[in-house]
Amino acid sequence: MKKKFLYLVLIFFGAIFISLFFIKNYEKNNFSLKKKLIVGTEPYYFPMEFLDEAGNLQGFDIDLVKELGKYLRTEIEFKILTWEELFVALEKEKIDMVVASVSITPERMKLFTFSDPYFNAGQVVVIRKEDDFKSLEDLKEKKLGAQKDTTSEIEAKKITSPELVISFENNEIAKEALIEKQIDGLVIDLPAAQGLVNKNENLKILSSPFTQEFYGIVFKKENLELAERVNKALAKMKEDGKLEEIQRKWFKDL
Amino acid sequence: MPRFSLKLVQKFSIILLLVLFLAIFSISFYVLEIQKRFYLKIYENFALSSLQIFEATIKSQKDLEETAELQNSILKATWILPQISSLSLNLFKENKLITVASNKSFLLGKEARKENWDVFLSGKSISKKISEKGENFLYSVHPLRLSGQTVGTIEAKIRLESIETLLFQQKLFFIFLVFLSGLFLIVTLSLSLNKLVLSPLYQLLQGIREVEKGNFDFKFEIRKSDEFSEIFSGFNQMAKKLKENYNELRRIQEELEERVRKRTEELEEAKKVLEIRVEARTRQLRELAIELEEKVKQKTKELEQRVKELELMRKALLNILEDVQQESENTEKERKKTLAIIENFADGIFFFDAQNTLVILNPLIEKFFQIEAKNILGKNFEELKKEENLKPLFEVVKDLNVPIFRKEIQLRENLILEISLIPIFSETKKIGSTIICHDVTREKMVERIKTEFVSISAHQLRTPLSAIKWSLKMILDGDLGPLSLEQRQFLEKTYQANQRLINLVNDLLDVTRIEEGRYLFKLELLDFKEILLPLFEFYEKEAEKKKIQLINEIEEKSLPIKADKEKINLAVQNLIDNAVKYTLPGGKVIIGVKEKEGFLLFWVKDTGVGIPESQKERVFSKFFRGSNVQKMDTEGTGLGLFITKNIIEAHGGRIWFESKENEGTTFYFTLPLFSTFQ
Repeated sequence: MKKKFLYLVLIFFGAIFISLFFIKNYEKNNFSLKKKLIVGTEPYYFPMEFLDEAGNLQGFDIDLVKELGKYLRTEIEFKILTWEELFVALEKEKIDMVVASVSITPERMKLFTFSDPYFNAGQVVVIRKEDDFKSLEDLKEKKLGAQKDTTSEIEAKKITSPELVISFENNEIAKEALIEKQIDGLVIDLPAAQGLVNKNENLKILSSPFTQEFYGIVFKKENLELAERVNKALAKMKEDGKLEEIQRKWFKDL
Repeated sequence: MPRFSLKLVQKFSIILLLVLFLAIFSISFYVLEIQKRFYLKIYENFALSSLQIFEATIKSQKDLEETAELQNSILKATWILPQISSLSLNLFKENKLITVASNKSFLLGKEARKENWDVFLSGKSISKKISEKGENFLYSVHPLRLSGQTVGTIEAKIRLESIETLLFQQKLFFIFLVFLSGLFLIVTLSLSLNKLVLSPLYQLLQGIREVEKGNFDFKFEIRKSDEFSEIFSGFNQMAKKLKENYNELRRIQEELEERVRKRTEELEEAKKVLEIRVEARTRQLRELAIELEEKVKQKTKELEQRVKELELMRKALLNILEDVQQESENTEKERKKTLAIIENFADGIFFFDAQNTLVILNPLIEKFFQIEAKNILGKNFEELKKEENLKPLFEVVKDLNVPIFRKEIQLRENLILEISLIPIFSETKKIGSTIICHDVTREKMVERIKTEFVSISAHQLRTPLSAIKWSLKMILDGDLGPLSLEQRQFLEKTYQANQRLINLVNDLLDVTRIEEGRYLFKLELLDFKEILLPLFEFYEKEAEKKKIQLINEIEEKSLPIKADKEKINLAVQNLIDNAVKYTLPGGKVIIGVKEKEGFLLFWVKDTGVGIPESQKERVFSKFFRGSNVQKMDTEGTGLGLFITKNIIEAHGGRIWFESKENEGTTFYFTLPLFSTFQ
C-alpha cells in the first residue's frame, strides 16, 4: 500500500511540474536595475520627510521609498541635500531620483520626468474634534480661516460665503484662532494640516483633500526606464493597499 | 497482499491519470480562455468609460486651451486608476495629431501614434492588446468630439500585468483542485477494484499454491455465477486431471529410478579404473616438473650473471659519457674563447670551412667591406664572389687553396688592406681557410709621405753634388793649374766620396720613382750577353784586386730579351757587385746564365758571408742591410736589391736566392726570352 501511494504522489507532482511548464505568463521582473538606488531628499517637511530626535530620516516619503526598494528588489541609499542642490545633483546623475514632496506641474514636467502621482496634498479643512462636522457641506455659512494670498484662501471662499473667510498672516495664528473658536475651520494643505493636528490633540482633519495637488517622484528627463519601473511598483502598491497603509500611518484622520 | 495486485492497479491508475490529464487540460484551458476574455472585456470597458469620462470633462474649445487643467485631469485619472500606464490627449493641429497633455512628459508636443489617426478619421474607438518589452497592455484610443466634430483623440495604455497575475494564480489553483479530485478518484477506484477483482484472484492464487504443494484434492466452492465462478470450476476440473497425470508419472518415475541405479553401478566401476590411470599419469608429470624446475634455476643463474655484466658495462658507459660531457664543455669553452679572440682581433678575419662556406667573420670585416654578417654568413665561396662589396677582395683571392701573403688592395680612398690567405690544415686534412685583412692605410700614408720627402731631398741634393763633381773634375784635370801630389791624392778621395754620394742619391731617386710608379722603362730588343759580358770583364779586374776568383759559367749562345738596357745593366751590376763586395779574399764568385723553358736563368754564386736565417724575408725590402755585413762595409745603402727586384719583376721575370750564413749566397733571376729573335 505504501509503495502504491508513493507512485501516485510522484505521478501527481510530475503532472504539476508539467502543467507549470505549459503556463507561460509567469513573473517578468527580469530586467536589470542598478544594485543601489540613490534617493535625494530635503527632510524639513513634517510629516512627509523629517529628521526625528535621534537624527533618523522619517516620514511618508521615506517609508514610501523604502517600500519601493522592496518592490524593485534593490537597495536604497538616502542623500540629504537642499532643495536647489537636489535638482542639480539629479541632472549630474549623482542621485537617481528625488523624493521630497515635489508637486507635479506642467512647467516642471518640461524639465524632468515625473512618476505617476503617489500622494495628493490638496486642501483640507482642520476642525476642532468636539465639533460634529461630517463633510464640507456642513461648513457652509461657517467662519473659515486661511493663510493670506494662498490657494487655501481661494478654496475657502468656494466653501463658505466669501465674507465669512478670515485671512491670517500665517497658519500658526490661524490655528490659535481655531482653538479660540474665532473660526470653525481652517483651510490648509494636507501635510501642513497633519502637522497642526499632531501638535494639538483637540484638532482633526475633516476629510480627504477636496482639491488636487499631486506629489511625484522626480527623475532625470532621460531616465524613462527607471520611471516606468517605479510607476509599475507604485501601481502595485496602490492595488495591494500598501500605499494606503503608509498614508494611514502618517495621516490617521483620512 | 499478493504481488501482482500492485501492477494491475498501476496500469489502471496510469491510464486513468492520462485520461484525467487530457480532460483537465482541455477543460481548464477552455474555461480559463473564456475567463481571460471576460476580464479583458471588463478592462476594455473600464478603459473606454474612463476615456469617455475624460471626454465629458472637456466641454468647450476653451477647455482645450487650459493645458494645465487638462494635465491635472490626467493626473487625477492616473491617481484614481493606478493600472493606467499612460494617458494622453492628442489634438488635431496643423494637419498633425499632437499630444498636448499626458502623464508622460516625453510625449508632450510629439506626434501621436498612427492608431490615433485611424480613430480620428473613422470616429470609432479601438481597443486592442499590445506587447511592449515583454509586458502586455490594453491599448485604447477614443475620439474626442466637441459639438459633434472630432478634434482629437484620447489614448490610454493600461497595464494587464495585475489581471494576468490573477489569472495565473487562478489557473494554478484550478489545476491543483482538479488533481486533488483526480487523486481521490484513483484511490476509490483502486479500493473497489480490490473488492471486485483482487480478492477472487487472491483465492485463485491460494488454490494454485495448494495444488503446487501436491494437494490435488483441493476444490473451490462455487457460490456466485460470474466470470470467476467459471474460472473456479475450470480450476477444479484441472486439479482432477492433474491428479490422474501425477499418479501416472509416479509409476514411470519408479521404473526410471531402477534403471538409473544400475547404470550408476556400472559407472562407479569405470571410475575406479580411470582413477588408477590418472594417478600414474600424475606421477609422470611431477617428475617432469622437477626436471623443468632444475633447468629454470640454471637459466636464472645465467641470467643473473648476464645482468651483472650488463651493469658493469652500463657503469663504464656512464663514465665515458661523463668524460664526453666534460670534453664537450671544454670544447665549448675553447670555442667561446676563440670566438672572443676573433671578434676582438685587430685585423678583419674571414673563416671558410672545408666546403668553402663562410662560417665566421668578425666585426672589422663588416666595417671594411660595408656589409652585414647576416647577409653573407653561410654562403659559399662562389656565391660570395657575386657580392658587389666583396669584389675587390676576390680579384686577389681567386682560389681558397692557394695561399696569399700580404697582397694589398685599395678598397676606398682611405682604406688599404693587406690580404693574406692561409689554408688551415689539421693533420694533413684541410679544415678550412682564413683570410686576414690587415688595415695598412696608415703605414701606406706614412710611407708615401716618406717617399715624397726622400724624392724632394734627393733632387735637391743632386744638383749641388753634380756641381761639386764637375768642379773637382776640372781641378783634377789641371784646368786650374798644376796640383801637388798630396793635393791630387786628397782631391781624388774627395771626388770618389762625392761620386758615392751621387750614386746614393741616384739610388734613392730610383726607389722613389719605383714607389711612385714613375720608374719608366725604354724597352728594346737586345742580347742579354751584351750587358753581361762587359760587366764580367770589369768585375774580373775588381775581383783580382780583392784576391777573389771570378768563374764564368755563361752559355755561349745569344739570349735575346726585350728590355731596358740601362736598367737590366744596373740590376746585374748590383748582384755581381754585392757578391764581390761581401766575399772575403780567397773566396769564389760564380757568374752564369743559361736558357731554361723559354726563360733565361742568371745566377751569381758566392762563398761570402751569407744572409742570416732571421733576415731572409727582408732581403728585397728597402734599406735592408744584413746585420753581418754592416760591420764589413759601411758604404752600402741597402737599396740595391730592392731596385734589382723591381727591375726584374717589371720585365716579367722572377728573382730569388739561396743562402747559408758563413757559407755563401746564390742569387737567381729569370727573364722571358724574346722567341722571334731566334
